[in-house]
Amino acid sequence: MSEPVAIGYFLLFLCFGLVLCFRLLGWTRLERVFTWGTLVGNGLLVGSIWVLSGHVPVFNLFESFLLTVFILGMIALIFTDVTPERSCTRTWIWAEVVVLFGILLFYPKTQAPERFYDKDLYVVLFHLGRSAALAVMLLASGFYGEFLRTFRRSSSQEDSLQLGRNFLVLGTILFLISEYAGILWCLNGWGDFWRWNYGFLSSTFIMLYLMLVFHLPGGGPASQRMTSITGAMNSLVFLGIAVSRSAP
Amino acid sequence: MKPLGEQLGSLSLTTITLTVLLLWLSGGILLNATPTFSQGFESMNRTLLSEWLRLPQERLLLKAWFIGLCLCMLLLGVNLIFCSWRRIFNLLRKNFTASKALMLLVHFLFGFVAVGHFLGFMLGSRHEDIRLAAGQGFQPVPGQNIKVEKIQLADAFGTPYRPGRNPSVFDLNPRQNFAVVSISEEGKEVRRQKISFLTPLRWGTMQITLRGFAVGTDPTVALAISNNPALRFFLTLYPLLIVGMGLHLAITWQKKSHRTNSLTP
Repeated sequence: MSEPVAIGYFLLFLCFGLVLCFRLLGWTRLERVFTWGTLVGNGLLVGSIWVLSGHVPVFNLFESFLLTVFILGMIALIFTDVTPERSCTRTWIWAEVVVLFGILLFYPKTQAPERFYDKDLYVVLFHLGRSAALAVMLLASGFYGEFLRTFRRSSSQEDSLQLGRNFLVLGTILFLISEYAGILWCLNGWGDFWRWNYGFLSSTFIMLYLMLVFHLPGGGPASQRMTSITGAMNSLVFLGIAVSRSAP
Repeated sequence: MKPLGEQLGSLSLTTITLTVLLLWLSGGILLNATPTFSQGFESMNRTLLSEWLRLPQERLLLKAWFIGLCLCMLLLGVNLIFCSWRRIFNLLRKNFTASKALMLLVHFLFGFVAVGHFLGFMLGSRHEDIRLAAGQGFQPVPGQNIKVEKIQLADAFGTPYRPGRNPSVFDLNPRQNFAVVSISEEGKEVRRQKISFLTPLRWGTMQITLRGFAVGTDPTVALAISNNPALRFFLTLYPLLIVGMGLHLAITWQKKSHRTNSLTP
C-alpha cells in the first residue's frame, strides 16, 4: 500500500461522509464548503496518481473509482442544486459516493503497476470511457431516485425524470464509445473484435439492460415509475459488473 | 386481439425479448464460469462459428445456448423491422420531426451493426495460434504465403515470467520485442511489416496479429491470422450509431413530453 495515497483515500472518505451528513442535516453552507474542498482534494489525489504512475488513473478499481467520484462530483455541482430539503438529488449522489468509497475499503489502496500497453489510445479510451459512463449513470440514478421519492408529491418531478433519462442516454453513449475503443483494442491485440469471455458477455449484459430501460412500454405514471426503478438500478448493475471484474 | 404485424412490432415484445436475452446471457456467463464449458468458449474464440457449429466434439448444450442466443436476436430483429415499418409510415403521413427521424435512423443503424457483428462470426477465415520460427511460412489460402522474416526477443529474460513458461506479451516492451512478417502472393512479395503486440499487419481484409512469443533455442512467435470481410462495415456503422444517439440526445435534451423515458420515435 502506498501510504500517502491510502491516507488521501481515508481523508476523502471521511470528508465525503461529512458532506453526506451535512446534506442530511440541512447544513447547506458547510456542505458547500466541504464539497468544494473534498472535490479539490479528490482531484489532487487523482492528478498525483496520474503524474507519479505515468498513466491515466483508470487501470485498477481504486484508480478508476477515484476518477469516477471526481467526475460525478463535478457534474453533480453543475447539474444539481442545493435545496433546503434534506433529501434531494444531491443526497442520493453523496450516498452513492460513500458507497463507492466503501467498496474501495476491500481493495488495495494503490496505483496500478506500469504496463507497456497503458499508453495505447484505445486501452486508455476504453477504461476512461467506462469511468465516465459509470459517473454519468450514477448521476442519472440520483435523478431517478429523486423522482421516485417525490412521486405524486412534487410538481418538479417531471424534470427529474427528464434529467434522469438525459444522463442515462449520455452514460450509454459514453459506454458505447468505451466499447468501441475496447473493440479496436481487442482487434489489435487478439485479431478479432469479439471474445467469448466474461468481459465481453458482461458488457453485452449492460448494453441489453440499457436497451430494456429505454424500451419499457406504456406512458402513464406506472410506466414512469418502472422506468425510474430500472433506470436507477442500471448503475447498480454496472457497478456490480465492474466490481466482479476486479476481484480484490 | 391485435393483428400479428402490430404484435410483432410492439414495445411489449421488445421488452419480453430483451428480458429473455438478459436471462440467456446470464446463463452464458454462468456456463463460461464453469470448467466444463470454459474450454468450449475458448474453442469458440479459436474457430469461425460457422465451422465451430459443425465440430462434433463440441458440447451440445453450448451449441444450443449459442443457437438460442441467435434466435433471440433474430426475434429482436423482426421486432425492429415491424416496429420501424409502422413508424416510417407514421412519420411520413403525419407528425414528422427531426428527433423521430433521427431515432428511426439510430434503430436502423443498430440493426445493421448487429448484422455486421453476426456476419463477423460466420464469414471469412480464422487461424489462431500459428507458431512459426524465423524463416518459416504459413499458407492461409493456396497461392498466398505468410513468412516470418525475423524475430527479435530482446528482454524476455528481464521480465517477471515464471521459469518454464513463455513470457506474456503484456510484460514485453513492444518496441524491442517484435517480428517482421511478409505476405507473398503467387511467389511475389506484396507486403512486409514489423508487427508487435497491439500493432498488427493489415492487408485488405486480412490481419496478422502477434499473440505471443515462445523462448528456446529457436524462438517462435504465435500469430493469429484472420480475415473478416464484414469488419469494415461493422467498424464504420458503430460510430455512426453513437453519433446518431448523441445528436438525438442534443435535440431532445430540453424536450418536455408525455413520455420522457422513451428513446423510440
